[in-house]
Amino acid sequence: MRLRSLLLLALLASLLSGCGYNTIQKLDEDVKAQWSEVLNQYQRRADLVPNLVATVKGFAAQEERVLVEVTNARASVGKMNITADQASDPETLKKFQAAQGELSGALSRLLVVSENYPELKSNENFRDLQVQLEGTENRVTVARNRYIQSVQAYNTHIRQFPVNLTAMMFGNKPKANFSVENETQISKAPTVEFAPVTPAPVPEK
Amino acid sequence: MLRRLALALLLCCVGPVVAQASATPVPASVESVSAEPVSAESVKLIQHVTDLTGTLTAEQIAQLELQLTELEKRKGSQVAVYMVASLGNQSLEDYSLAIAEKNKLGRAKVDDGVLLFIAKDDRKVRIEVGYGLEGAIPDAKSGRIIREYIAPNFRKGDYNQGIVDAVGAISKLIEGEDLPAPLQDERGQQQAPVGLFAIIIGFFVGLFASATRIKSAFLRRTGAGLIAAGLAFVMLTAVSSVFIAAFVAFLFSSAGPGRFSSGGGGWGSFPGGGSGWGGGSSGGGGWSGGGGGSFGGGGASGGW
Repeated sequence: MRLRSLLLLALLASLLSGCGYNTIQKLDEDVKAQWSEVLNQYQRRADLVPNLVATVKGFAAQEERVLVEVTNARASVGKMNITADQASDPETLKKFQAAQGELSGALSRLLVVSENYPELKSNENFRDLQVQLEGTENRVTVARNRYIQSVQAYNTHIRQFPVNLTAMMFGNKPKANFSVENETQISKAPTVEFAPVTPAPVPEK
Repeated sequence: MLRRLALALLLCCVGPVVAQASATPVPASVESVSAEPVSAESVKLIQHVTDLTGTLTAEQIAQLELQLTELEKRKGSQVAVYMVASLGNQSLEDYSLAIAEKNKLGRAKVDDGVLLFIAKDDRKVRIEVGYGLEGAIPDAKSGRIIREYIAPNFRKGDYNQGIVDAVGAISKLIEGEDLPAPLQDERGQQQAPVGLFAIIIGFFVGLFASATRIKSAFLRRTGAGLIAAGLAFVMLTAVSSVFIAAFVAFLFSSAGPGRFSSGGGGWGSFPGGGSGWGGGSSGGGGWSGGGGGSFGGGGASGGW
């Protein structure tokens, strides 16, 4: 009797793995790991901001508006540390993305403004920071890309036939994925205007 | 409730084998889904320095190759140089990451690969740094190498000097880093089980052959040797294992009905069919393919 129930249990367990239960767990863990990497790289970017702001301030203190904007965006990003489970919720992910997008925008405005200060541009420290920022943005892109792929693998798996029943039984839902940040902007065709440009002064000889 | 649960379980699991066999396999590895363009994905590095533009002379390449092989022997890190004419329609970062990832520069787990990627006509350059070297070669340092060593030389048209300086600077940074000892020993250890498997294959094939009723010892032994060699080649793909398996099979197939009847199948008649195989895999100038390192987009880009 005891043996029989044991056998039944073993059979049940093997059936479960046949249902893709183990793969669900594996892919779920993979998504979590990739999400940690995304957070890790965003955190790295956030850590660069105080240094960058301090350096720019040294040369261009009058650009207060942009500097404050960056600082505020950095502060709101700092409050948005969400776990992998929270990230699978579309609403939360959207908020997270919005906050990070705001920081991206503020940072790029800061870099545009800094173009006007030759001294700042030639400052070694600032150049290093700029390179670090670029590198971090690139890492964020790579991490996001890998997260998107792992979520895709997970979602595809749990929506296919025998597995979708297992997923339903254990309550595994499809996870939200990153989307393009400025969807509405992209969907509109850009308008290009050729404003009458004053001709550049011809260098006198 | 319990019954329904069990029913659902049964429903989804009675015919899962059929359904799963027909379902498309889940992409287990992330790379297989990546939407990288084909051109960069299919690039397979065969040595440390790859110049598709014909800018560097053969001697310059050999010199760099020597230097990088030396570095790999000493520290275990793989530094590769890749030079193309144009990026096509890909971005610099995507292209260089695809090549670094595809070729798995650096050792597995240590992730100490570096790719110096140059798009000559686009005047763009990138230093792609593996995970394990992000501490030794931070982005700021990569950026400085590009600005101070590569850009000035490239602007003058002296590509070789720029690359040599950059490789020297990268090597110096790697030298300063405390990394696990180079791979040589580990590879030696990996050889052992292959040899062992070869012996096992040879042993069983030999036993099997000796159990057959083939009268001619020469035929039996040669056949066993060839079969074992084939099996070893298919299963282990190492040239040395082919010889080991063939030899062991040859020895063990001696027992059997024809054992004492003929001494003709002695050592001298070992089939010469395998003689063309030798010297294949382990030669070469030190490049043994990527070791399994991974990249996360570290490094810096620049232009000149």
